[in-house]
Amino acid sequence: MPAVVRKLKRAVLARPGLRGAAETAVVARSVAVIVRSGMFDRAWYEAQTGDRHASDLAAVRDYVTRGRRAGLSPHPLFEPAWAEPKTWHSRTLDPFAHHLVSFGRRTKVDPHPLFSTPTWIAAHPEARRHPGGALGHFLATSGPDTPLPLTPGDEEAAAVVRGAAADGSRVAGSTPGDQTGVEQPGAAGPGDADGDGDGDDDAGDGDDAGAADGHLARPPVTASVGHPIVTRGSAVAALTTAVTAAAARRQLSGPRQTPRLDGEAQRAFRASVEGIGPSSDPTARAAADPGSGHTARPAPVVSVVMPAWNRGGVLRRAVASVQAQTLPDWELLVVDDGSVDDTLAVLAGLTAFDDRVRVLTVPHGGVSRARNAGISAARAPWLAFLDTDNTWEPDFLATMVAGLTVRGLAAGYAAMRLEHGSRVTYRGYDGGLDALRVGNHVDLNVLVADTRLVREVGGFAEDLRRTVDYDLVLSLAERTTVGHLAFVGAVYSAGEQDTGRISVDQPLSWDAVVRLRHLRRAPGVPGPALVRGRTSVVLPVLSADGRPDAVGAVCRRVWSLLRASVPVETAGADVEVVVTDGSGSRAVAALLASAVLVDPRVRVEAALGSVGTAMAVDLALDRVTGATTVVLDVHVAPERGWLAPLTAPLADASVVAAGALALGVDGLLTSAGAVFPVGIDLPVQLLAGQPAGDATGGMTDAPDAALLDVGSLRTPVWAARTADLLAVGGLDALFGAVHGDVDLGLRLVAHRGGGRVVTVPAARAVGSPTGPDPVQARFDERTFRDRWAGRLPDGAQRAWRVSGTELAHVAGHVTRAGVRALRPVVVRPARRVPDGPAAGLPSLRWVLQTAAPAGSRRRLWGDWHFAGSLAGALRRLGQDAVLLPRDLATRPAAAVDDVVLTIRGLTAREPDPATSDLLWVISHPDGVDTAELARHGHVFAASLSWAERMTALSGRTVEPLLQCTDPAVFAPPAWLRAPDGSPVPRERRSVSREAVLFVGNSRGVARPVVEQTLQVRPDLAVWGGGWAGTLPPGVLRGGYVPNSQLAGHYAGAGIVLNDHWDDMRLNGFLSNRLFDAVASGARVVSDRVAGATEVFGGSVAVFDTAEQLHDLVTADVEEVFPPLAERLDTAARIAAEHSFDARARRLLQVALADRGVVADLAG
Amino acid sequence: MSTLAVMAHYDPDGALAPHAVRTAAALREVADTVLLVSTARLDDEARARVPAGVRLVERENSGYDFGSWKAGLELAGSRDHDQVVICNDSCVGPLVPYRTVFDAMADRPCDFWGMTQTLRRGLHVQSYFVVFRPWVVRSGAFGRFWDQMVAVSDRRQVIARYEVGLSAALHEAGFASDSYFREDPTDRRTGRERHLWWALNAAALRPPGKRLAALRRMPREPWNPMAALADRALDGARLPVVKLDTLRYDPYKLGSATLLDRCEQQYPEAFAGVREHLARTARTYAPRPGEPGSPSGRAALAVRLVPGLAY
Repeated sequence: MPAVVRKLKRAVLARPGLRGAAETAVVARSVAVIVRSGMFDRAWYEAQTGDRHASDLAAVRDYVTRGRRAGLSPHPLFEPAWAEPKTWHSRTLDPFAHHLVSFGRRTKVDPHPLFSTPTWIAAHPEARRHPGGALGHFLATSGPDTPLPLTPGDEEAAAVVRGAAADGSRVAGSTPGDQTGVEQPGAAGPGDADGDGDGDDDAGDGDDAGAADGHLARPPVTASVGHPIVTRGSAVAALTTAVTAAAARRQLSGPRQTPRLDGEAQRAFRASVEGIGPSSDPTARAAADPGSGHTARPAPVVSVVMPAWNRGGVLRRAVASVQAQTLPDWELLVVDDGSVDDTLAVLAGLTAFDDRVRVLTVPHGGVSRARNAGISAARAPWLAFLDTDNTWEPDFLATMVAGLTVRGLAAGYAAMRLEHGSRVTYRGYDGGLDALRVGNHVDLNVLVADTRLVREVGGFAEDLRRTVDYDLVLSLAERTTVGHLAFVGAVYSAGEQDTGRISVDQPLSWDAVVRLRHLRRAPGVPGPALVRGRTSVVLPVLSADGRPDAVGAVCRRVWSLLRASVPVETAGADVEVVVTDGSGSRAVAALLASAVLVDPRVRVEAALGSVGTAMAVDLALDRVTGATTVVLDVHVAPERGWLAPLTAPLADASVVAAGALALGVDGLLTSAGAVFPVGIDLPVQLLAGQPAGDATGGMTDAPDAALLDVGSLRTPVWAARTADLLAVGGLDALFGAVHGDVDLGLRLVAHRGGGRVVTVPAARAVGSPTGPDPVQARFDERTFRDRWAGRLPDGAQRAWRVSGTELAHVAGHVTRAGVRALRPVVVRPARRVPDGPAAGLPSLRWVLQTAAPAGSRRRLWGDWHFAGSLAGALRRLGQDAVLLPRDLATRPAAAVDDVVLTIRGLTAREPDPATSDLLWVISHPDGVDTAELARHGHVFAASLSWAERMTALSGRTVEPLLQCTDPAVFAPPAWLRAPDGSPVPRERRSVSREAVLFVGNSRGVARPVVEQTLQVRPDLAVWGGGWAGTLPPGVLRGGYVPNSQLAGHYAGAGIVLNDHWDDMRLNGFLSNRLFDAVASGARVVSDRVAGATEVFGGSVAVFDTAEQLHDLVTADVEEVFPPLAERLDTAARIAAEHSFDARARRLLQVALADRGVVADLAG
Repeated sequence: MSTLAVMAHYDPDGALAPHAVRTAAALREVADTVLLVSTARLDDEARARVPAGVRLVERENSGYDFGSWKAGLELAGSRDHDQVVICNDSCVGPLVPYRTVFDAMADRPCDFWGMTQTLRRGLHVQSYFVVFRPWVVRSGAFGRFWDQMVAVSDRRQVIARYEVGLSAALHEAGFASDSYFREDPTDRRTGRERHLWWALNAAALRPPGKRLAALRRMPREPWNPMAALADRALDGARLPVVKLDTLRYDPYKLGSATLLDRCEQQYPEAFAGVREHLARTARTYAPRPGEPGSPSGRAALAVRLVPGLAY
């Protein structure tokens, strides 16, 4: 929509009347579109709401005006949050209507995770023109037994699962660590890889098909298994069950306070207790304490327990409200909890005039212990509780006792009137045990219970510091009906709270602690047997707010984990996935039910009410059956290949927990585990703010990087033995915001009497879990200090050593969210290289700034691997080198860097003035101008001709520094030298000696060199990704060649084809495939590029036209190319002059010269 | 139960007025220990008039009554006694035996009490007579109040910080107060009307710029029962004391001369020598500008103009 139209529309809609009219029109149009489609499923809609509608039209109207805002769905196979996450505004067309009217333009939008529009259209092209879109066509033509068109990814993943289930073996080619190497280093990332455009893939998972297809072959999935069968009927049934249950759960989460009380219920209750005076028959219930009754008064009917700690100034009102009770036969047990004010003196005054008031004095031990002392001393059959800041209505006790007697209840509660200034609400929710499990709706001050029952449940839990009343109420409700008596028993004025109250001194997370106690399996009750060798992946799905777009984001993240990350990781392994659905969202419940349909290893446990990470994880722990438990925060995306490395360290009995590296979306480490610098009683995140390579000793992708010994866990993804977790009780829900994982790691170690917590550099999780609540975070900090101060393991400095930097000190700061955080400040002492070719020279810290994106997609970028190889070469010269992705503006640890080498990709980077600043242009020369060259300290270019031209143009020296190869990988195979004497290796079987070979991806565009060669050499062999459907049958030999075998393929081929991007070719940027192939001893045919002949001699034959290419690939290779001996000489020369080691030597020379050090590093 | 009574005394002429002697003697009925703490330069005649069983303590004239009470409490050791009474010589009375008053208060559930309490400047027991029950005497709040008390030379400051402050500190600690004199509905109506009458007149006397604000504020203030309801002493001694200031200043302009006449008629023994005492000390009790009782011609008319309000 043009900007001017948008502005006009906004101006018009700013007028209230017009806005209303616009909304009405939108509603009318939405209703019309949906009704006309005939696709609205009334029964389904009613299952979500629990309401009944008179007609389809009424239901549609309800959906459009109300239901869609609540995130409800019009049809089991249409999820608004999934299909149309951006269409939720009241003035835009309803998502479903929008989907229907826009279908013609957008035939790739899936209405539901279980319904792939492209899949259905591929099978039924006529669906494209159906007025209801693909879904409408499907519904019109299918029956209950028709399989749903699943997305190919799901079919693949499901196939993996089924294959694994069938034979228990790993699916070939899915080992993640082998994937690098197909993409040619130096064939820098194509332009479309910048971003995925639609913003839906924020999780950045590397399995994302859109990003992967262009550049890297997906590992082939064995094709022998069929599609999972999910029929329309079974899906609708499962989804209906899920949303009905979700609706019931939501019902329980209804508001606990209401603006008014149900008058009818009150009248009915009053009528039921009319004329019943409990005091008329005080002996009806046996006194709890037979020793009572030696006073002149009749035995008390109710014992009122009132704890008081330094409450002398306020307790009189509460006591007066007891004294004002119309039921006279009570005893008030005021338990002084070791007050230091005049509480006892005030109580002395009260007891002097009323012998029903008894004072108990206990040493200060908390409200629970005080109340328990009162419970022990109680003499009446009923117990009531009144806090010093509450008052009862005069008839409270009389009415309660009468009501409980009439209804035969052992416990019950009245309603409470809450006065917040002039606003009044009532707490009078009538709910049972399930409602209590969601949240407490019973105020202790209006609860009356059988004294014996309260004693049976053990009274109040003395280890809780808050919500002890909730704990008691839950305990009572687990044994008996805690009934609601519909009358106002007490009034509470919110303004009368003072700051000494427990409620502001203790964190809200106690609520979760209490809920967990009652929701978890009781201690001592055996859980499911744990299966050795099985891994249980626990996914806590937490509360999502009501906006469909937020729910949509949660859905996509969870679906990506469930359908992509986890299945690929776990192929062939014995794995179960336990999801705790604490989202409270109908859409998430439907999504999870869908996941279960396509992967039976997924189990979903729906939690009641609001759920935090600890609660979700601990609830899942009760249900897992694997001996190893892995917890995966759904806010992060693990990089492919995370699971096996993460759990592997647990095979070592000394390891008690293993965590993944946590990275931000910018590619920097957020944590490599928790460490505890001396003198700080709080965890510091190891290597926070440093490049990921610092955790692996500089290695780029480090599948074999050494484990890091850390103080404790601090990561969104971790693994531990299930038995240990159960023994320590899982995460402590008291840590409501931060430090929960740290605390768990420490408790695991303590439980085992020692042991290691390790961070696994090969397992990486990218993303930012949501920011913690600052208030809760402060409480967590205090809790952590209280629990662990003085008992924390040291070793922070040792842990830091892996990075070559040292922890200098820890700086405190407050994040934008208001959370206090500790920021490590690191230094790097000056060092000299101890040995090797650079012995005695300064050891510098190099940062290789690449054009690759952060996250797992970096692996699809040749630049990343190129920089990785260069970093390895620098390390062989005694240097420290780490890689950085492109997404980074500034970074906290930059001060320790000595050299920044920018390996120029698509975008320019501002140089860092504080360091030696080198620029190496290896690709996309068209984007580099003279001004950019002038900004950098030294400029290199991977082209002889371009370097010369730019030197002339810019007036500053551009030094030619060509691309290069890694001789350790690309060297002539042994059999090439002695072809007759050696056994024929496996890789030679795949490509015949005479064949023409091309290795590379399709890049989504035609590669002329391949097309033109095929015209004359139909026996061309192609390896690579993205070719499917574009090559004649038999040409594509595979999607992927492991790096280690590539040299064999090159050397074994008759001819290796090579080409360049136009700007690379025109500017003389030699592709690194040339270096690799020639270094392997291959014969290469390439498009003409300046410098090729000079560098590669006869090993590379160049062509300008298709005819020349035809000639070259059809001629006898022995005539075109020099003999083997000469090619081997060339290979040796390339290895010597154009290796990463050679490049590293030159770069080091320049960097040292910057520092005034002259180094002779030749050879 | 041991009771300590500390009575503060001051006389500009160094005398011990007859009403003060009677008050001190009466305290002996209810207290084991009675201290008469005087800041007057007593002559021998005055010393000789101290009743038997009453211990005279003479001290310098500073800190008003609270200074004397503090000195007396320290001297006698308040914590060695169960119950503490503080009072002064500013009233004529008791018009009934203290025993009667104490017996009546025995069943009233409170922690400290006096003859009267007022809501002026916050609820407080008027300090000319206060009784503290044992648990109050031993409380932290009571001890802190006297420990932290310093001599203040301004009379209004003394009232704000100590007279009102004493009750406030004890109320804040959680103690409840009560008074022997309880206003019935008629008292309350009369008190309100008399106060209103005074407030309207007093406000009218303010400078023009402050008059309107005074008219808004003063009628709403609570009344002082010792002035507004002083004639309840005549009603069977429901209020068993008459404040000398009421007789001296007639603060609400209700005709204190009439009140004195009637008191002398009804309680000749208790009021013997009171008229002479007032006359002798009149020169040292200057008018208090801005306070109730400031002489003014117009206010003086009040008694005649609205006779129904008069004593």
